[in-house]
Amino acid sequence: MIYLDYAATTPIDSIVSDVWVRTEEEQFANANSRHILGQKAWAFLQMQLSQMAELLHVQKENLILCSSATEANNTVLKGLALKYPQKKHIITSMIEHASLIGAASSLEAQGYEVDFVDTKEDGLFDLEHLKSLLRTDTLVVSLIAVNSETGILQPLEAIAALCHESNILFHSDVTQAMGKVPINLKELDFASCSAHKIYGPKGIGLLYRNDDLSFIPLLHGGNSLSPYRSSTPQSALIAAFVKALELSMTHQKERFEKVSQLKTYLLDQLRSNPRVHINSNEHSLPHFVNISILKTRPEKGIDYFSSCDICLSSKSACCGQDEYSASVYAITKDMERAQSSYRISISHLTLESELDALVEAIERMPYED
Amino acid sequence: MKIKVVTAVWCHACLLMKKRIKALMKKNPELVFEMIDLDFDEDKLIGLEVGKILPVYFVYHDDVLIKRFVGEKSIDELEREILHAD
Repeated sequence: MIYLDYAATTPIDSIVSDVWVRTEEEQFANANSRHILGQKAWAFLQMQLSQMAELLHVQKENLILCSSATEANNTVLKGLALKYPQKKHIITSMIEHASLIGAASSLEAQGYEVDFVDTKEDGLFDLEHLKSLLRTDTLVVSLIAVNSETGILQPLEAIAALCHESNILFHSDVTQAMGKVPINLKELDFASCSAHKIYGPKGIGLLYRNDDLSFIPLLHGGNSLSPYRSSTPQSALIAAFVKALELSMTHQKERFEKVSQLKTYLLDQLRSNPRVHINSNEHSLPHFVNISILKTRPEKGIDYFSSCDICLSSKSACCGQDEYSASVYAITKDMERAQSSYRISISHLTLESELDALVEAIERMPYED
Repeated sequence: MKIKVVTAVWCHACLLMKKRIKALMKKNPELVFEMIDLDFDEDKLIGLEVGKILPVYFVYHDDVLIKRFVGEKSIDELEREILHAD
């Protein structure tokens, strides 16, 4: 089986899974317990938090461990809404993760107004449009760091600066960027991410909050690792997350170079196929290769690739316009390409032989009527 | 005229359309919109052909379904689709 869907999730690194299992066995005690094993588990977790903070160049008090990026996205939007009830306006975009849209929809149903920032032809957010949307009652601007279809990396620091000029909070879902490129979290007010996109386990995520910023927690209980998210600390998942983060940071440069070479290798072959158009552009991370295969439809195309033992994705499973990718249309202005787009997401684990097999499968791909 | 709109909380276009629907309701107060959640309103979905694309609009005149259309629309397009449904 050839896996080319690393943007959806990644296989756990064996070093990370060893840490997970060992911690579960050795640090099973409840870190909130008063007895000696609980104290050891607490000390162990404090060490893990310190290491994570060091890797991310922030303070450990800024880190709120939770179950997923979905929980982090929900927590920041709903928690800020509870903290600042007079602010009833939210700004986001049409390329966010479904969990951010879900949280915003839930607030819209409670009377909040939601506006969407346009994207320009190069796939970057239109900052002039963003500026025009900012209001005194804007609760938060929440914009994703990397488009999960095209891999386009957004200028987070410029967006943050624009928001801060108007004293408006800026949150970013950095899940697809974390571990792939350096991120200066200190420039942001809040950020969400998860471990399973960086070869860590599922079931653990992170909400970062900048110094002195707060919100009303959604989960109340004991003052555990953070007063902003109560629950018995999941020591093993946290240790595994920290190890995954450490590996992704330590090897970031070499992995980025390897993935860049693989992308170049793939694009060189795909360009000779007249049915294939490359949608990713100069702003896209090398981990994402978005292509259109003309005269195909992704709903059948994904099944075809599965029959060739190749796993990849099309646009995010959702809704909206007549079955086309809004992200691809925004940068190509070509409806046929937007209706026939596929996301190939590659990794440092990807082999050239796997990409050769993909290219062959594309060449043999049947035409749709 | 009554319009049933099937949406979902995770749907980008559905959230985008809610603001436009509110604007259209303000402009045309005679239009009655009923919002139906795909994941939570199972009983209200009976008999409605939802399909793969959201939101889905069902336009009724005197309780008779006269038009079904889908997807993101500008306010003008939405108004045209509804007011010229029959």
